[in-house]
Amino acid sequence: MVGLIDCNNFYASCERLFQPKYKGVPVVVLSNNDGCVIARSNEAKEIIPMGAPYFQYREIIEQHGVAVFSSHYELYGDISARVMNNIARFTPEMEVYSIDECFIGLKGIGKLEAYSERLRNEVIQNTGIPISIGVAPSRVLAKVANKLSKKAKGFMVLDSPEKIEQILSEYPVEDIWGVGRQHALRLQKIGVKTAKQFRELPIEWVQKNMSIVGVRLWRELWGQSCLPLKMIADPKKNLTTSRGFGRTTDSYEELVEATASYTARLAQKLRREKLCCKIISVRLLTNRFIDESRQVYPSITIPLPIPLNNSVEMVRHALWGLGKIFLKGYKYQKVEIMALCLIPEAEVQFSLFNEYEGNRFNKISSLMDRLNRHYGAGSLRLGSEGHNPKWNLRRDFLSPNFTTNWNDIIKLG
Amino acid sequence: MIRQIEIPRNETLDTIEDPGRTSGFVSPAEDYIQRRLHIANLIVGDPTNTFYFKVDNDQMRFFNIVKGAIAVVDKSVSVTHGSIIVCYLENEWLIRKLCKRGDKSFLCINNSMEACIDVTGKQFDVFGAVCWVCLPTR
Repeated sequence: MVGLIDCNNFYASCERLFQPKYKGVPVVVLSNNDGCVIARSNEAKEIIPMGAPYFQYREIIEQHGVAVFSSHYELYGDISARVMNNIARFTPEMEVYSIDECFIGLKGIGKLEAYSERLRNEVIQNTGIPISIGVAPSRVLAKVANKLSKKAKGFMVLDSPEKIEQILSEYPVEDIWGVGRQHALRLQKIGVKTAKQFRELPIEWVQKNMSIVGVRLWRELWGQSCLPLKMIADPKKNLTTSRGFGRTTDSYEELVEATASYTARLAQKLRREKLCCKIISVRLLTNRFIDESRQVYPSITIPLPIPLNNSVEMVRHALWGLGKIFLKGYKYQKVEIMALCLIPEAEVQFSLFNEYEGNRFNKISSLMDRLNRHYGAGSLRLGSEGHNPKWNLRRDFLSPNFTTNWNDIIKLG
Repeated sequence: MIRQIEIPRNETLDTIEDPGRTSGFVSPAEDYIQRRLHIANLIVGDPTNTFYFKVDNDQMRFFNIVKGAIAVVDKSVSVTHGSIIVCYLENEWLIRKLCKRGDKSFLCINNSMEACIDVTGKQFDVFGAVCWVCLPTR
């Protein structure tokens, strides 16, 4: 048996943990730069759609007294780690799937109802974050159980074919994990509306029309586990840092600073994962919400002579690329840096004919990493990243660092 | 569960990795090395579930909890009658002693029931039990 555990309205729950006055009040959390709504409490779900741009919904938000927060990943990351650590105490088999959900293996564990309830209560007691648990023979069914548990006791165990059949007969086909909108439409057209109807289709039809992915889903719905737990995450294939600016800019100098800064951060991520990239791509984006006639999205892909992960050389290549693609007279909102074709550091092949001169840059980078670990991220930077940048992230509704900064811990009366 | 916090070496203050490794004479202390005490191992039983708060007034001086103290809250410790707790009462974070009388809960500042607050009917959330209070002397 497999369990899927997720945190209910995770970002909103994190904010409420330290500001209980927002319990029962609609809460929304905005994306980076306070652009649009990326998380909502249950109360807010009735008022504001997912992805709603903040500036468009400002009035409605004020009318309904909705509490607004900028996304605070320092806080969410810490609380997520606490939740996952607590869950891991219950089972040796665990796959952290995202910041707020994980799968657990429950092989050999009896009394699953009591077990789920105890796990749920303990995590809620220890962290203050509400969670839901779905338990079933396969991951896709566990997802179904998890979704339905939110309207029940917070946990649901699907341990018999009868229970599964009954649940699936009322479960809409488009809500199955992994069924995209296209497939859902196609299925509805031939009269398949529920998950039960879908799994009663002949497997030949599924294979023909929905490829291997569909077949796996079909089997999973019959309780055959085809998606095993990944206890060790796959090595990453590519990495991106892309972030919008606090405001649009047409200044080349500011773009240079932003590009250098994001590239340096990307290089740091690569080093942390012990990877090197063979290709960097740089892309500029204008703001599609304003001034529709003046939109450009220039980009460039730069193959590197030798796979890299040191900040100095990566920034040099990225800035060269920026110079190539920069178009004057446009207001840019965002720069996106991607590291492609990643390979492990240990597998880098040097050229037979040219001597590699970047070793000292590698040394500089690892030294910077050590210093930044000790004195805090961003303490030592490349000159090209600038300081006190004007393009910096906009976070007007940021809550304090309740769990990561001594100056921000809550004061008691 | 065995709980021992791994305190990383501060590389700035302690620059040599293993001061016990000798090049000439084998250290006679080699076979007797124990882990040095660290206060965190006494105060923080479960780092994953520990949260910190700062006391901002002297309301709880009866319990030697005064302004400037750091309250260490372990949420995995269950809250019962008589626990010192951190709680949220009507828009305010408080540190108080919890007293239960029947199904009513009261927040007290000493061991008597005088000046205690009845929380019935108010927005009241218990955050967790205070396990330690750390007070600097300067």
